[in-house]
Amino acid sequence: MKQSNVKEYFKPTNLKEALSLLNSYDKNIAILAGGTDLFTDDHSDIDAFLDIDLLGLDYIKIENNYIRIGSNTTFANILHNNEIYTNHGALWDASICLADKSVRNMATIGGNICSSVPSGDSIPPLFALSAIFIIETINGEKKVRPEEFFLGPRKNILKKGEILKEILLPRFDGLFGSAFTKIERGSVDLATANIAVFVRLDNEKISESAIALGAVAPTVVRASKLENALIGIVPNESKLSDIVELVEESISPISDIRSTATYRRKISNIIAKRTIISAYNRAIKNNIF
Amino acid sequence: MLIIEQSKIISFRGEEIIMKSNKYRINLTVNGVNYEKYVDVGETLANTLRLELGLTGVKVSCDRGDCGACTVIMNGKAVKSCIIPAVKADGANIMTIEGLSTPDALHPLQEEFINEAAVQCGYCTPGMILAAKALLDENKNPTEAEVREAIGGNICRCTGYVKPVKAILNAAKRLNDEQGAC
Amino acid sequence: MEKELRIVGKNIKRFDAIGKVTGAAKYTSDIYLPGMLIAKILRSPYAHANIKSINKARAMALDGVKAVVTWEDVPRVRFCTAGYPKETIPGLVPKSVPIEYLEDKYLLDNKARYFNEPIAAVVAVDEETANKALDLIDIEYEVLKHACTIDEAIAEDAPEIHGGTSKNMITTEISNGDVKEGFKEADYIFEDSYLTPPQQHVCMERSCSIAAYDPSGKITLWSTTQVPYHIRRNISEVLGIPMSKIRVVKPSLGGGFGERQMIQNELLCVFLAQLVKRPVKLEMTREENIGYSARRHETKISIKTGVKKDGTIVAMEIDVKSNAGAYTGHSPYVTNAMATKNPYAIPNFLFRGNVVYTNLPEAAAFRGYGNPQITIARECQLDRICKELGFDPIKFRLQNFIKVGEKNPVNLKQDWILESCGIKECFEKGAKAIGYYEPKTPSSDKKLRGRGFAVSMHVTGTSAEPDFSSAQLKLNEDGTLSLLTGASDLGQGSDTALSQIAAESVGVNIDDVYVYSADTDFTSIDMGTYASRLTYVAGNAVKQAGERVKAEIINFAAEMTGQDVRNLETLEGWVIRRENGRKVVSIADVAHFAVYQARNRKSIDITESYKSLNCPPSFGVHFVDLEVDKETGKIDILKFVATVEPGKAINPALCEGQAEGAAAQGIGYALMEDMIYSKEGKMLNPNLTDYKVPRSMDMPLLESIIVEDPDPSGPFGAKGVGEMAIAPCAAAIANALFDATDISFKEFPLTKERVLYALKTTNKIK
Repeated sequence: MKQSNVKEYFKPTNLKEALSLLNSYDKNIAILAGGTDLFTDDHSDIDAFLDIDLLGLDYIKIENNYIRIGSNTTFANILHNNEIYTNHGALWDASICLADKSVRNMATIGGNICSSVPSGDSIPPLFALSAIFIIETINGEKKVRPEEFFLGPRKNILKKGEILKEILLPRFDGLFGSAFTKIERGSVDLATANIAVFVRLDNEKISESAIALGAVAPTVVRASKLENALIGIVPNESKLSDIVELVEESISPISDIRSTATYRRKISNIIAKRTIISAYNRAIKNNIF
Repeated sequence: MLIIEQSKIISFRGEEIIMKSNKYRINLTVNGVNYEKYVDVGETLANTLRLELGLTGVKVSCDRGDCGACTVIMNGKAVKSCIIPAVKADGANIMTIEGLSTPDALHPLQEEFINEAAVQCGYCTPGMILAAKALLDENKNPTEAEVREAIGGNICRCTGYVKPVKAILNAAKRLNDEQGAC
Repeated sequence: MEKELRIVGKNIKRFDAIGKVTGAAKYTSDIYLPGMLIAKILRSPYAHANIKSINKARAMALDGVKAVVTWEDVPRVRFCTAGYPKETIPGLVPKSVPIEYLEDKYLLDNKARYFNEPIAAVVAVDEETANKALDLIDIEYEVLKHACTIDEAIAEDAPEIHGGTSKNMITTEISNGDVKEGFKEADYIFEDSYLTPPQQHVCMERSCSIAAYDPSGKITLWSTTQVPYHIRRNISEVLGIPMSKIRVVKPSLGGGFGERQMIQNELLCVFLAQLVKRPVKLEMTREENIGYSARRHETKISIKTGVKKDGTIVAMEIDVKSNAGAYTGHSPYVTNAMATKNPYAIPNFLFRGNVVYTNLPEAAAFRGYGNPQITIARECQLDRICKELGFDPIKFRLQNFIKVGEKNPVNLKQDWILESCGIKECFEKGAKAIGYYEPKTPSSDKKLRGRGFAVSMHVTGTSAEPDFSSAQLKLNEDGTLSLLTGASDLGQGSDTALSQIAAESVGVNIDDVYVYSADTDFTSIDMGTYASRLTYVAGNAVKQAGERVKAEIINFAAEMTGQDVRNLETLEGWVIRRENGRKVVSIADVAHFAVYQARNRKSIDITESYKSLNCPPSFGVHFVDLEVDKETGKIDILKFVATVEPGKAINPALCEGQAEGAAAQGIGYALMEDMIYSKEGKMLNPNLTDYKVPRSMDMPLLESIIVEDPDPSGPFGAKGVGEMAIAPCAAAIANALFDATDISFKEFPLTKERVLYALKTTNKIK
């Protein structure tokens, strides 16, 4: 049996019921979304699962100022959404290279966020696109930014009795674009390093930027120095070559079985440069491809 | 869901089984047949299909979602049954490789895998064919790149993917020709 | 006049494919027997340790546990995991090495020599109970100093890993001519060293054995094995069971690649079933299969080559140190086999093969059997020689290549003559397909582009001594033919290829052949599936049996019709007149007549044995066109052309399948597959998440080309192909990379990081 210690299973039909179950259960209860991460290995510390399939959290709603993505939305559904494809390219790019097509039919964005692994592909785009996470608690809703959510490898601020309900993505106006790049050892891999870049333009120059890198620090990190250095420039190969090393001031890569720290450091500059150019090219074309 | 409470040892089909968790009742349709089964929470769908329903065409190779040998079609989508909790299949409609052909006729994908010698050891074949079936159901004219993406989660150690990709493209063409003729 | 081939050379559909595409095919792991128990293995938490004490009491007390066994419970009989018979085990190693050093494995031992070595086994009612019981076995270890790398194991202060060998090393020398004199003749001498990585087979079906015990004492074992007969003999020798009481069956098998050319868990499984007198299943997890099972030998190779101004190679000296792991197994063979994979006519040749014991799981047979490693060293160095001396790499190879009529170099002691070699055509077709002499324009200024190739030669059947197989053909009374063969189909398609040979040689239609293979009670003896031997060695046995069946058919047909046997021939299910092809009588009628009406009624049932007269090598050249990203070090193979020369392709589609699959495995070996160990000797990436094998999206445009040059000794001219096809892959990629970057890579795999580091340190980029 895959989960050697799990004995109980709950499948509540509404959020209230789910929250009260989570709060009253006295042993270790884990929230089960797609299961693609939880069921990879035996988690012998888990006593029960709470399945969120009946909570109605599988949706993508387009509103005036936000896109609302239910936490139980699969990456397959994210990839089918035209608004995300067109205007939130970084998230779409990340989703298409997350695991493989069959896994994306089950894996959810909430699951990827809550697993909180430093290499999670959907996470840098959520930083770069200024996403807001809505957490449901027994005392009501909390809104947090990704920067506040992640605490370390597989660690986040979610406490027992809390459920990540929804991800809000702002809808941007004007000239903007975003892109994502992943370095991997082969296809269908966990990232050696990944990056998402968002830029907004004013008069062909970058007026706002957000850059987030994964797998190069205990959590996904923003490259704020590099973000600032981009303001007011029209990026090109040579200009970027002078400043992308700033990215190294934001990261603290380690060596592990997937890569050495040295390579992660070197490659961060390169993918920063390339992804800034991709995001800029999308922005200049007003995301019309 | 009805629960059978955890007990120490019960006799099950005449064999001794140690029950380690509560059993949960699930109803599922597999290859067109309705089943009611009692499963453990920690059990995978692959396990239920193989051990409870005897559908050993569902192969388990890596047992952690990497290789795709256990791929089945659930509610119209290709999924990896070794990382799906069996309890999640409650109410689901599932196709395994055993349900792809009729006793009289193979599916064009199966025929093309035979024609193109796309089968060697055959252990990845059921999963790969089902991943391809799910692709062709949603995309009648896939490009080679789309075929490669659809089976990107299916590891084959024998063929180098050359002949499987060709077989899938052939099958797509045949399915379109057959539909065009109607 | 040569009879036109009707079945051989055609893309006959595989017999087993329909079962595999419908899910009907049953593999070992699909067998569930009533009352079957589950066995699990407890593994050592140290790379090197003595077991001081064992307490099984807590494990035995657990509900559902049927047996717990340790070294104290199993027979203390040594065996060699390679499975070879006693006569063969020593191979080429010096006579001074006693056989006890090579037969070095116990079922379970009181010492652990690698991290995760089996220490104990549990049998229980289910997997969870068995796993739980493993945690309840109390073992006290005395931890010893360990050595996991070649350098650590041959250091002065290295621990003794393998009883009886000082320096943890066994050295064998193989030579021809006099290298010292040879180097004196040379105008240039090149010396290089290479490090080749280990590799995991990653058969898609995990290793699994199921043993069923019958009260009569009969044991039936179903197992994922390439060598059912070697397994049976070892069960008999180690567990003391007569062979008549052991039946070994290989069901459908999910890959082999050499991993199953050894004793895996079969002996232990049989021992446990005998002990609990119930069926026992012992299946590896993927982690056990990748992390703690056999692997390709990691090697350090030094190669020194002397060349004359005119491009003639006059001398070559090679020193190989191979990381054998803790047990002998195949290591002496694999290591020394590298001496006999050289396809160039080099008058002065010295090979020194050093088997180095370390505290790692044993290295064993893996497709190519040493050839990919030695091909890297030889072909990469030859490209460096060509570049430095300005020789055209293709002309240089052909200038030095062995030629038909010369001595066959696969065994330097045998007087075998090379009778077929299609290398020239491989070069011509491969170079054309890759566009070898076309301009090399990179797709962007961030990339470098290059083309390269590598050549290999591989044995057909074991080269150490003449090889052997047998086969049985039974003509049924309706004229259909049953082929019973001990040869194991691993997925490569030997059942189909051997059936084609049977049908062709008897003269029946392929649809009238039924094949049943690899069951020691019902099929005739075969050494197993390795050394690319089946089509050739087993194929020759089938062909001989077929010719005798055909002769019997013609004899009975003559009796039936009163015609002279000399005028009769068989074709597609009929006995025909030799001179005009007119049908005389159907084979179905002859078969019926033989059993029910003939004067001397008789079953046409022939078993034939075949001992090889030769070991004709197969050849191939693989070409690669690639680009490398100067900023990330990523290699993109734009096109890969695999040419293979298997004599005659019995079934071209199956041959292509071998070339294509081998290319994928070779590309993985070259670019991404790596086994990473901690300082403690524990593998850190024992799963398919972090042990990366090529997927559909990793594969380049891949073209396989079959070149034929039928060998007179092969059945219809056939030679082997499965192993040849992997040998040149990594070297071809490295040579294309050398062409692109001017850097001769010495260490593999060619990961992005390694490539980028080399580009930076050699100042190829800023």
